[in-house]
Amino acid sequence: MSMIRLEHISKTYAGTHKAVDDMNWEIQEGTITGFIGPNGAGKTTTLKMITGILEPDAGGSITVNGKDIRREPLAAKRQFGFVSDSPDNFLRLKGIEYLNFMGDIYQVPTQERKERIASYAARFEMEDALKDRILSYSHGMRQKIMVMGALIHNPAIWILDEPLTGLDPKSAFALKEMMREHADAGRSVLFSTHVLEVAEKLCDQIAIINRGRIVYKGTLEELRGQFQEGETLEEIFLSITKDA
Amino acid sequence: MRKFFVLAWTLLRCGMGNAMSTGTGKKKKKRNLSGAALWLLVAVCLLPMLAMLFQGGRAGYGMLAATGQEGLLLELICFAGGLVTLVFGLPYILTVFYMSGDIQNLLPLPLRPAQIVGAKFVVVWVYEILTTAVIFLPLFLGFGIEAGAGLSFWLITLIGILLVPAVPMAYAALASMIFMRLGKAAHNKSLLTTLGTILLLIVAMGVGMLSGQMGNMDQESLVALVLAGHNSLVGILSRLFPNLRFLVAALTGGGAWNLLIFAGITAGFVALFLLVASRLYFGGVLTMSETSSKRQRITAKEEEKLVRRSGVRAAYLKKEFRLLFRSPTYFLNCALMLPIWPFLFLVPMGIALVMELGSLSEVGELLGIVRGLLQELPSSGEEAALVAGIMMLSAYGVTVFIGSTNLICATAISREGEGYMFMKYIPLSYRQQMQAKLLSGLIPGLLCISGYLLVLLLIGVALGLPLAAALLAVALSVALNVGMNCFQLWRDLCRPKLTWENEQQAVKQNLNATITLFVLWALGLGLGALAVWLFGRFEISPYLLGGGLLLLLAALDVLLYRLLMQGAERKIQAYE
Repeated sequence: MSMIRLEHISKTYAGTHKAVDDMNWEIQEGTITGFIGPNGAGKTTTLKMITGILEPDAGGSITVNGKDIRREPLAAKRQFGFVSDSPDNFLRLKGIEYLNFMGDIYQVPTQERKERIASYAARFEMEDALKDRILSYSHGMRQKIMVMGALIHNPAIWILDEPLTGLDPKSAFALKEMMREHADAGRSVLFSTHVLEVAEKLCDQIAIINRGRIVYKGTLEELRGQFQEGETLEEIFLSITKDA
Repeated sequence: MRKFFVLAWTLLRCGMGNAMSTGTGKKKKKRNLSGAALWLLVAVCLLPMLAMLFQGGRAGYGMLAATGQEGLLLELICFAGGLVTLVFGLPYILTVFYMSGDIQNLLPLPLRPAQIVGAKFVVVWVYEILTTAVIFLPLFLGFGIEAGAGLSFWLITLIGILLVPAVPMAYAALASMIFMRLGKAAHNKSLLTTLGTILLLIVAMGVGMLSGQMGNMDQESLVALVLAGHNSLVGILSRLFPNLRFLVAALTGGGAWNLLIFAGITAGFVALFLLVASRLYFGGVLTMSETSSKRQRITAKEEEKLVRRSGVRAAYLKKEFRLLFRSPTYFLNCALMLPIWPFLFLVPMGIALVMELGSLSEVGELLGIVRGLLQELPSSGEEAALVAGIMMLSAYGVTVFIGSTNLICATAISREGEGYMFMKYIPLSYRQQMQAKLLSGLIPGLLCISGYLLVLLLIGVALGLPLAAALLAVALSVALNVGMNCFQLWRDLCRPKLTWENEQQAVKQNLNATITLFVLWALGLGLGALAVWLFGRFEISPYLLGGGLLLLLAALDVLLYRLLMQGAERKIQAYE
């Protein structure tokens, strides 16, 4: 079953610049999907359209866990947890206040939110920081609190824009572990990254986007099979995105 | 020197440039056109005030020229200019010097401390010139035209408007630097900044209060004050702003050397400021970016208190309040006037009354007399109607004036900045988010305007004022508050300023705040004037007028609320 489905999705900025061009894409349940592409290729624009932040051009459709983001926006938005590429939000709130606020927005029962906060705080080693304002956090800690907030309602789909940027090795490991557990439980993770090694080690599926078009989607093994033996992922990536 | 100019220009462009234009291509042209239309609207809204000031300048000249004391008016204008800069410049100085968050980027650059301090001083200076010119240019114009002044007067006026803000700004900046330097060990810098600004404002208002008595004096007293020399109030202000008397002398035909002395003293003040500030500033500002953290685990008891379920709108509203009140920039620029207005206006009036009468017991006697007079008022007839009318009009005027300075709703969406994305991906309808944002401005407005008015009017009722008029006055205030907040939020919804680099730009350089302020003043003044005219022309009962106005405002409230809610889905969805 597809958790995210994009059909004929395009996005044009300022009437001229086509950031995403007639995209068709399905993300299956039980998978971690890496979204890879050069700067300005359309990764963030695509993620923003999936999450309802940006309105696609007329004509296509996006469904998230069976809910159309345009027709049933609120129902669709309850299906995912989203972490944007900028963690500098709600800086004047304390970590715990932010998490409780997110719990309220997603109407998480008190006991459940307590358990999840405790669990995530332990895994990200944030127990001693929750009483402090986010303003006093380092970049990595801000990223961690945003991830915790996005996951507090235990969403079926995780959509993460560059989630590993700024995380220390231990926290990055913890997040990757959590992503794996989530996918193994039959749910989905979609994340964008520039780090090819992460995609290589973590993803069940990858999608490579260049100039607004998905130029490859499938497994890494299938991709390697299309190229000469011995070529690194970096070489393959450069080859695919070169004037594609 | 070149580095200094480049830095000052860059800071000015960073601050003001992006307040003026957004978008590209056709969209930009369209926005520029609508931007020009908005400026035109602001200018139209300002016209009544500018005309009043212009007439004030003309009439003042006419009154004083007869006795050869026309220079006195110029002196008062200049001193008032200095005081306005001192009071209104303080929050801006604090935001530019301490809350713009750019110091960490500037320090690694090969710049001398004086160049950084000087460039920031220039940014505030330009802003102050623009602010004070709106008030003083029409006054000088009225004066000059009535006096048939020549070219030299206009040239000196121009130089005066450019240079007058410098000395009070230096005072305000130095006072804030000393305060921030003293408080650099404080854990909660945000609270320190907020309290510091309030304290400095009270001090500045105290200075203003001393001179405030001058407004109540007749012509002879004013002349006597000027002639009294060093011990008079003008004498005190002359010592505070020693350059101004030379500007006045130059304006009244005292020769070019007076202008040179004025410019020289001003330059001396600025140089002295730069010298002292270069040593004082960095010690305080560098600690601003240090944020204290306890790094303590939450106890079970704290968890019980901190982690509990609330309704979505209540949670969103709580978030709005926390972000608003914990940011000094937001609080000082958007909400400060609300809690302190009675203290800013009534306390100085009370002190002035005590000073005028000599002792507190005499004030008590006066209040007794007033109470006696009020109780003797007939319950019907012209006098009673007049009292009721004045009560309602006062409540109306206070609500319009103070309510328009409540910029919480006028910047509610702009303050989200790039984080506006959050509004779009959470499962909460835009209507619900707008309702929470509306309440975030409306609740403080109702508490601090209608609430204060209720207390004041009930005191009045206890002294003998009519209860029905008091209740109608408070109802008018409530209805006005609702409409004003709806209008301000609707304006910000239509064109929010979402691209900014620091909180100061989000509110201080936000056209929505300026536009809504002037539009509300103009509409409020127009509607109030219409009610007064109807009362005077047709002798309509003030209760009937008040009731009619209340119905009209209630209808407008419903209209604006519906407009806001209908616009929310469409407009927010279009943000990119």
